[in-house]
Amino acid sequence: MNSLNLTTRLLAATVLLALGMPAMVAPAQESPVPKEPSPPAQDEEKADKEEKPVVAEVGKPAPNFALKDTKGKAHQLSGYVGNYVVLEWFNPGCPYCRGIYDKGVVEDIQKKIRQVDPEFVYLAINSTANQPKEFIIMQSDEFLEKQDMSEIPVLLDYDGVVGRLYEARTTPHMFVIDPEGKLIYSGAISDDDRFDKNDKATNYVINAVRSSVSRTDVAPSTVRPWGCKVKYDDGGKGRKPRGRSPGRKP
Amino acid sequence: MQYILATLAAGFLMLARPGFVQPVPSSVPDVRMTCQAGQAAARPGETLMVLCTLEIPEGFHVYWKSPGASGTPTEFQVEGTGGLLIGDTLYPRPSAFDDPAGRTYGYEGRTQFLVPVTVLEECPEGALAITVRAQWLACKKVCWRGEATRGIELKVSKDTVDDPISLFTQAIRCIPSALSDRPGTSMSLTDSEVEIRGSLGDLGLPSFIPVEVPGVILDEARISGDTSEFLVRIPYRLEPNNSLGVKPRIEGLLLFGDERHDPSFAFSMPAPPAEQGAGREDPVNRRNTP
Repeated sequence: MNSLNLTTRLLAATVLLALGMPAMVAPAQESPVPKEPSPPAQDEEKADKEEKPVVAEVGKPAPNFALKDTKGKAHQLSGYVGNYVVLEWFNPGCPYCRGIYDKGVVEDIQKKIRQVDPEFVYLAINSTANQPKEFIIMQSDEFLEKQDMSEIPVLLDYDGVVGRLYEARTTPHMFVIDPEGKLIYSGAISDDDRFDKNDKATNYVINAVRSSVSRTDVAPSTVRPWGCKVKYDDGGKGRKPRGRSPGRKP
Repeated sequence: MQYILATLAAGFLMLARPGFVQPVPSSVPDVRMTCQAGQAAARPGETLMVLCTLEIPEGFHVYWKSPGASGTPTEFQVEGTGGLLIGDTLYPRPSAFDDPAGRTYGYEGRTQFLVPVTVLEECPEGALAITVRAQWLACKKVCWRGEATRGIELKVSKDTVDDPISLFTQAIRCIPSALSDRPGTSMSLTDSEVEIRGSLGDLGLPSFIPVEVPGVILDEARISGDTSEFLVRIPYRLEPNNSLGVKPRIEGLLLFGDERHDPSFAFSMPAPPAEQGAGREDPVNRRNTP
């Protein structure tokens, strides 16, 4: 009986240990290099005040960040000054994200922007946190390999810090940064959210770069992004339904 | 016994070991659609409603015409074999969903949409085939695009006297009414703010849902009231460069109560031209936050 109790205890401890393990699993990519900027509080009094965090804003310098990609390579936005940079919020589990690759929209962006900046940088950023990190890495790499676009680095933003810095809402949500490091476009990739316009679709990312190259105003510079919501880590709280009356005051 | 338990424990550890990658399971939502005409027969020149019902599986939601921070609208395309004029889809009162990526608006459960269809005067008598194609994005942990096509047959006859099917009454109750039809309510527009005042009913203060119009930024509504009157103030600004050629309008819904069939009111008014100083045009193209 005693030995059974001991075994039961051992089993319980094993199960508890196993349940706790996923959180302790070391990912293929170690912790990202420190992200910047993180504005320090000037003093306690100031820190107490409710200040809006620094976020990306069209027309202003794009906030710098540093992330590692699925292969472990470090990328720092400031390292790409001098070239156009396109950021795509990416999730191969989202049908809209898959759609822009299946329909050749991303390929078209690559081809047309290379004509004006052969060294331009396309970064896919994955802030998805509704799956284990290892799965996110595997799924991202497999998807781009199948698309024959594995040269696109997928930056891992599992904690969503960079996603929130850019206020990325959807996959895909696109951002265009000019060679001086200024954010010149934020929003939808195109006006074809049903993927049925083909050649008649307007690609806002290509237009933004072309306008910038020709020194004309980028218009539109902000368009509502469509697609799936970015699946940020919500601390396990899940979706918060607000019932039927949003913003209702007591 | 010990061997069995040890084997079970070892198996459990195997599943939890690093590198054993298993996705969180998710299944394709079985969103079901049915469509029917509001009446079996119609006269040339008559307008009837087509009712489409989506049965959305538990835990999933689809999106309103103005989905908010993410998502894409649920859309209905109605076509006939000839002689039909199709109106804009009437969306029922939406619910709000909060998420780390922002607030969205949409529907859960059984949801009914209406599409007005007018049989033109020149439409020949006889059977008329109507096709409804719907597209939606259903989201839970994962999002799935879905679509369905349904056919309806309508008899067109000059002699028909056909009353609308009673079940449409329930669907119509959930469609927002025009705010201008609400007694005791007034609306005014300043150069930077929309102001709505009205008498307060049993359901208390209203809430506000914005309709996103390109180039028009609606900030968070300020809602207040006393025992007899409510006041809703909605600051706005215009970004003409981001209008995508759409005329700027200020649109939204006022919702009273919490239930789907509680009163809701829609408004839409043209924004004054930015050149005249209205709407505090933002020259630096600030973010298009919902």
